[in-house]
Amino acid sequence: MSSRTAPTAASLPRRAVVVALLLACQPVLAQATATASEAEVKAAYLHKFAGFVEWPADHFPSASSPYVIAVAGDDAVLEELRRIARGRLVQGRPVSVVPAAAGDVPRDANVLFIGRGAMRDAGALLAEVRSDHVLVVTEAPSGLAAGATLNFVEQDGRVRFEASLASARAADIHLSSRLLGVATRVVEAQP
Amino acid sequence: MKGLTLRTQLTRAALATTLAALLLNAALVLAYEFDRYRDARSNDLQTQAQILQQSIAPALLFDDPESAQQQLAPLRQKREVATAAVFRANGSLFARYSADPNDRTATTTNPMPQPGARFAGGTLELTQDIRHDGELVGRVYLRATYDLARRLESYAAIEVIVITLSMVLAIFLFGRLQKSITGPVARIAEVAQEVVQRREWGLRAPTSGSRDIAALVDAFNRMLQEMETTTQELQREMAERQRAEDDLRRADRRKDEFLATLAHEIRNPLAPMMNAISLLRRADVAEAVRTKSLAILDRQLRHVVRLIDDLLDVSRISTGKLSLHKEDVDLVAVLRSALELIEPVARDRQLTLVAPEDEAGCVVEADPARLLQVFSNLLSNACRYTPMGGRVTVGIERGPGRVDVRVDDTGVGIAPAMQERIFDLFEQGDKSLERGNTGLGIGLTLARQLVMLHGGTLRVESEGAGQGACFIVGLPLPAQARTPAAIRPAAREPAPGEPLRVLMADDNVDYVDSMQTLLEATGLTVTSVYDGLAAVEAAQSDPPDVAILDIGMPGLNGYDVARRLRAAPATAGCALIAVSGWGQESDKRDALEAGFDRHLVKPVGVQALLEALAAVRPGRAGALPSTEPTEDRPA
Repeated sequence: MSSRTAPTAASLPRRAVVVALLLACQPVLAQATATASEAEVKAAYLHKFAGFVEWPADHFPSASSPYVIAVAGDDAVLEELRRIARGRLVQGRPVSVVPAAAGDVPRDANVLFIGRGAMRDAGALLAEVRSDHVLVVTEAPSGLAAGATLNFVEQDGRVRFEASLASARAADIHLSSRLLGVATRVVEAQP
Repeated sequence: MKGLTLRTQLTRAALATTLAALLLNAALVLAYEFDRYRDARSNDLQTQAQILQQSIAPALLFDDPESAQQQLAPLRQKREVATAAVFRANGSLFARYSADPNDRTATTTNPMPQPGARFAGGTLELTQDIRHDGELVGRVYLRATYDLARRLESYAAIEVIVITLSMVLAIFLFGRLQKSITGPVARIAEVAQEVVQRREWGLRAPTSGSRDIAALVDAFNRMLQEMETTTQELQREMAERQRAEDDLRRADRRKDEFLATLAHEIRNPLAPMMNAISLLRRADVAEAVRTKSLAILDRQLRHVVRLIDDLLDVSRISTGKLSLHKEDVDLVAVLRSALELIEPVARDRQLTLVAPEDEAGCVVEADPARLLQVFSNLLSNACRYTPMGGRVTVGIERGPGRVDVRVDDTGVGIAPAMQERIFDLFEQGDKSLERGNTGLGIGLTLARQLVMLHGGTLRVESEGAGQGACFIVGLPLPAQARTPAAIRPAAREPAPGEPLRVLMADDNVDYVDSMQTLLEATGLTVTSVYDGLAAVEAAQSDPPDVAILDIGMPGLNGYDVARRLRAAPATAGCALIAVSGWGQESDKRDALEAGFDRHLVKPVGVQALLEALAAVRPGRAGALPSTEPTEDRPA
């Protein structure tokens, strides 16, 4: 782990700048250090989510086609994801991490993380991926209501997530029951 | 093991074997079951761990210990699982479960166990890695306790029941099977016991059972058979020996009686002889007395000589030394001679003698002297046992190939029980009567043996005591009728002529001297010498007509004397008579080869000597003075 963190040491000041920029619009500085590890946790979770989601059988061009994770509005997560996804397979597929923004979501994205920074554009982003079998993950209390399938929440100082089966159905993806088992809350699909 | 029966030993061995096999089987089954049980439990727990690993992986991934706790909760259904724990990859405890809420051991003492299964007593510990996408995300740890002891107990209880039932079955089956083995053996033992107790060798053990047992029974029965045969043989042998012993004892008793009789018989004639000698010694004895005394001496001596001659004959026959000089003999002539000899006795007892019809051509092949001996014996017997005034009849009956001579008397007869025994040596009909009549009980034995030597038979017929007796001599007739040779009467009177000069040589001085006197009494001139050399000398100085030579003489033996006499011209022509104790054919041949003309076997009486002289010098031999017995028969 340490060998892998070494090259990222140089990027720390940049990350700090980004965080600082992000936090500029946030009232509590203390959260900055917390969010640093929070970003790591969220990145790790995002990296693993793909493994618990089933896409339609013909969704991927081939068995070795990568999972594409698009990150909008959270550079720390984007960077961390890029770092941990390097050289690691999920369900036998490589993971490719790309940045995204409203109006600029890659067509082949499988997972879209809408960070707090992009939450304002959530509606646009969601609309953009609606019919593209994309697992949308947010980190806002209104995430699921907005149409996200998974939403990070904080519980007892730890990062957890909640899930919406309705959104999953709308996105035409299937969430593993094992994943749902660890979700803090599951919004059932309306019949 | 000594006091036990075969049946008990077999039963013990079989049951011990069965029990050992059952125990070994039970132990193996138990070990196998135990091993399988542990395997099964281990597999169970492994499956459990696998399920847990699957369900708990997301909780680990997304750091949700509560969820993990919930996943562990259903373990409560698995009563054997005592403790379960989930660790993060970094080794810290993530979630735990314990059947006993107060138990904390699994988490505190063993924070992060190594993967693998460990059995310790009734406790199984299992640790498995939890992986997701090839990455170690944590470990699950399970500890289960099993009540092995109780399980073993229940297994052992089952085995005890199975072994007990098996043993009962084995005892039952073996009890039936062993009867086929021990049954025949027991019966052999019973039969052996019975044989020993009752001495009944005829018993047999029944044949049954397996081949080995049957072979044993067979061998046993054959042994019994052998013993039975041997025992019977022994008993028969014993009886035979008893009989032989009885015979011996009887023969011994007869011999004693015979010796007593013999002594009496020999002693009897001696008294009148001594009387006669006393009379003769007196100087003034009258001529009539002298003649009478000499007659007594002569008669009594003849009696003794006949007695001893009979004895010698019996002895010769029984030792096979008696040989017959067979020639064609007119049976009627022989019977006449016998009647002539017995005539004085018959006249004395006023008996009527009836001679046979003169039947021509009744010729038998026989030794005339011996035949005469047989008939005179039978006639003498008949006269002796017939009371005064009785009748003795001699008859001839011719049959095909044989002739029977019957000597009938009207005497005392013979009881049927005695009729065969009278032919035994020293056996006498009525001993009390016999004593009075004198006799040794050898006459009939000798007669029968002589007849048998001729190939004939001698038997007796008698209606019983007082009914008279009839002795029948059966003789074979030759195939073709023959003309008989002249019968020489027993005491033929030689024709008188020039006295024959005789030389006698024998080392028995008494014999030679008495014989010289006797021969001189018949008118012969006799010279006596007592050894071989003297005989040669005497013959050279005065060649005799006849030389009578003993074979066994000191100085020069008879053969050598004969050769010398034959070699010398003066004595070459004289007749030589050998007198020897040896009567075998080889002895006679030796004598003839040495130059003898005749060979006589000792003892040689004056009668035999005169006959021999008559034979070598016919017409010139002398004769004994006639001394016809008229009275003074021994009592």
